[in-house]
Amino acid sequence: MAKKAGPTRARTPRRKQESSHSGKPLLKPRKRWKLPLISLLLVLLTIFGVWMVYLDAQVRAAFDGKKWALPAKVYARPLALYPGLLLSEEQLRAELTWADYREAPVADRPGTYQRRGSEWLIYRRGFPFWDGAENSRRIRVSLSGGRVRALADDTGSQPLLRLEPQYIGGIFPAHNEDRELVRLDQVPPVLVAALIVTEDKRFFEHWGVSVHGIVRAMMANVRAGGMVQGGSTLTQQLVKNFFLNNERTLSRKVQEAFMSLLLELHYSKEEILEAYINEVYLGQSGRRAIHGFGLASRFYFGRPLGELDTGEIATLVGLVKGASFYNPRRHEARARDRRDLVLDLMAQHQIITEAERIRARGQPLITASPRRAGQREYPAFLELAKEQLQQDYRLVDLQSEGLRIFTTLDPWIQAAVEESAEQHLNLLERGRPGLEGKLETAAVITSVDGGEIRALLGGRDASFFGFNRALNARRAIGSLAKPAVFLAALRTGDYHWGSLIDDAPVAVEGRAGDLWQPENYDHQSHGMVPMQTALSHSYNQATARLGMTIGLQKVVDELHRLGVRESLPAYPSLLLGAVSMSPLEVAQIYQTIASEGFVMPLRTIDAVTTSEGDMLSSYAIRGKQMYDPVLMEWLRAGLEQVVATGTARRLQSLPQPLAAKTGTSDSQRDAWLAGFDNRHLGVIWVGRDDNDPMPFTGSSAALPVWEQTFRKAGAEPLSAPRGLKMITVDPQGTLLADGCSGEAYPFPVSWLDKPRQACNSGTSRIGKEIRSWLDWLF
Amino acid sequence: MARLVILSCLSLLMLAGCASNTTTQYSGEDYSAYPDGTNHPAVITLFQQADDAAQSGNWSAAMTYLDQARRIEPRNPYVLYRQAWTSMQSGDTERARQLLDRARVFADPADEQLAYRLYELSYQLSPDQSL
Repeated sequence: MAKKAGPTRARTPRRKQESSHSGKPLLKPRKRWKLPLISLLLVLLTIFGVWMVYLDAQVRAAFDGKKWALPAKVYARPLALYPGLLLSEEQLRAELTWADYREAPVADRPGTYQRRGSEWLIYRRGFPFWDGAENSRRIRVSLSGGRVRALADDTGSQPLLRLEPQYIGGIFPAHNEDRELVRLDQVPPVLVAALIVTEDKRFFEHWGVSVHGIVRAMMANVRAGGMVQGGSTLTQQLVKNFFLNNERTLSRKVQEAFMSLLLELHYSKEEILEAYINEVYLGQSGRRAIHGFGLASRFYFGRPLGELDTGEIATLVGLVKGASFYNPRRHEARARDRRDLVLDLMAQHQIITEAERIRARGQPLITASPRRAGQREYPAFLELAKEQLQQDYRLVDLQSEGLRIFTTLDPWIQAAVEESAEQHLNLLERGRPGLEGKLETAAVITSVDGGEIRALLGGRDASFFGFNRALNARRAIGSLAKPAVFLAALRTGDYHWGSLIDDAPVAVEGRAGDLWQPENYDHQSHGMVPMQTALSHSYNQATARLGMTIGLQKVVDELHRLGVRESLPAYPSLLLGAVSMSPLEVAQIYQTIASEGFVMPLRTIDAVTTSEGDMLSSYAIRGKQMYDPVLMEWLRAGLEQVVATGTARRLQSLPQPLAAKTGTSDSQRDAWLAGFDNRHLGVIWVGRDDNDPMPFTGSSAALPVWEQTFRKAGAEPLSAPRGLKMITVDPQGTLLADGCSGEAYPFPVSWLDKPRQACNSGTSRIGKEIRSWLDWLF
Repeated sequence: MARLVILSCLSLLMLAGCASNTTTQYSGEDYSAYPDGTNHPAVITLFQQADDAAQSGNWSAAMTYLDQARRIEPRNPYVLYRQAWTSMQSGDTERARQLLDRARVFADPADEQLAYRLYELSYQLSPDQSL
């Protein structure tokens, strides 16, 4: 239309001009034509101006302040090294490998280590710990007999040093972008130079848009008959990624060009380059988008940027053209060709020498495993950590402020429980058609003395971000409830581990007239048995009778005192664990027993700092004393016998004593083991998500996972009780004087003052009393 | 009876302290001069770091250093005592009481100096209930 109208309009003024020599009136039509055009131009200019101001504001607003929403980075506990620490060679090697250290003939750069007999030389990297940044330093660790014997750095012997903690995940915003910000002065100059010669040779000459580049790209595209080359400068690429979407339209291209010019107007080349280096997309790891060279360096090579060699730098620079297409893990040959091309360019522009180019080209392309500990995430633990963090922090801050979260996770114990669970579940399913892949598991491992969660397994697939059984699977706890019954009995002062209780068949009438008739696992009744035997062998009938005798409400109260927060129904079946709890809730109960009667919050967080390293909050031990520690030791003594002679005796292959309780719910739908050594408490659950029965019990399905976990992590025998003494009792459970023969049981020291019977002088008073209370039975 | 005698003696000691015009408030010096009980070099290092943090009023950092010491010696009552003291200084009296209770669980009954310290702290936390 415009072309057709053009000549017509052009002709008209000419004719008028021709006849205009005679007078002014002929100018009027020309004015009529000019004015709207000028007005239109003015309007367009104003719109353009407003648009420019808008774009300028957009550019400055985004570029002046915080450029990126930085996810919180979550770390495991750092490995604190000190003389006397229980540390096997296997663990030290694993911890170093997970922190992406490489064994070298000479540990001459950060991130390497060497071994000389029992001495380990570790060139530790610098790291911003919660209490301040520490520079890289060379440390010497001597191991002997499974412990750290000596510790030193270049300045001499040291009492305490730490390795940097392992990254265990992030708390990402919805777009899942992750990056590790680097300053330009932290980036190897070779990388910067390689990036410029590869992506935008005239970067330091143009004003954001390169006409030369566009012409070159157009010619290349015309020659190829399609889009093969982009003419974008680094500035344009940054603008596209930073402000715009991937839409390939002319209007977007124009906007990109203007924004690039504005960016160059306000900011230095160095600032733009630094932003580009942090912004560029360089890969994908599951849900996590890898942005920037800082993170890409760790992701692909397991090392910070400063530790990369020339070939690795060239590989990363090569990825800019297409992170997926040139992915060195998936398309090794392609990535190597691209790397070599970048190396050629680097040599051509004298960034590297010809010798360096030849040497780097000859290197194989070796990448670190994306599934290695240093890059994998721990979804189950992260979920709980995030939940606990949200008690003090807003989610949006966790997702965007780049906070550093220092947690209690012990990767060594986590690895032990993950491996043990996987191996044992496979073993259980082997040769059982229909069961393959059906078994599931969950585990919670805490520190006995502090309530710190050291490992958390939310399911068989430890890397799965989904249903977290450790927190959310509420399953019948079975015999794990029994210690609460025995504890309530011990607390009355009328019972001790040698007291006789009746394991005869039992029937209790419910309010609706229904009968509850629990049976023993072996379908046998064992008559009058010492209370210890009833616990060790997990006799249901004896426990039910005992619980009903002392009173259901007392058992409910005991469970609450042990840490159960939710209200519990005072039904008789509660005595045998007909109550559903998550493994974490079970761990809370047993934590109280293991920690000498202190109800401790089970926590995942140690400290939180800003991205600059300023401490925001720290979390240390808490725990309200709910029990006399002697009473807890007394209960623990009973649980030790479960391992010594009872249903958990398979744990005797580990250093003794240990305390544990097996649990199997009705119809064998749930298999449990809760137990502790001197350092850690572990709760293991095995079952099916569809809640169908399994051909296993707690001792055959859950116990072996516990055993293997503690074997790998290092089991330490329980320390001797401080408030208990052994007293001999007769077969009826009557306390006997010192020197009498009979079965010896542990008692609180205060029981030494109680009247005791002379040797061979009669029957138990307590035993008689117990039987006379069974009038609720029929 | 024996406990009564000890308590009476301690009360007298405290009264004597008041009479000689000494303050019942702890100074950083009192606190850091107290022994760690086992002389574990790593624990001593962490005590020093906790003291430095406490001197600058950074109770949160002091508490975290002490918690690291507790991980090395989880049942060392001296560590727990210091954690209780630090909690009190930072205004967290609930945690101070909890840790004081825990220190008492692991304290050697024959360690009179520690018993006195624990008593003093207990008095500061609950003057009415301690006597």
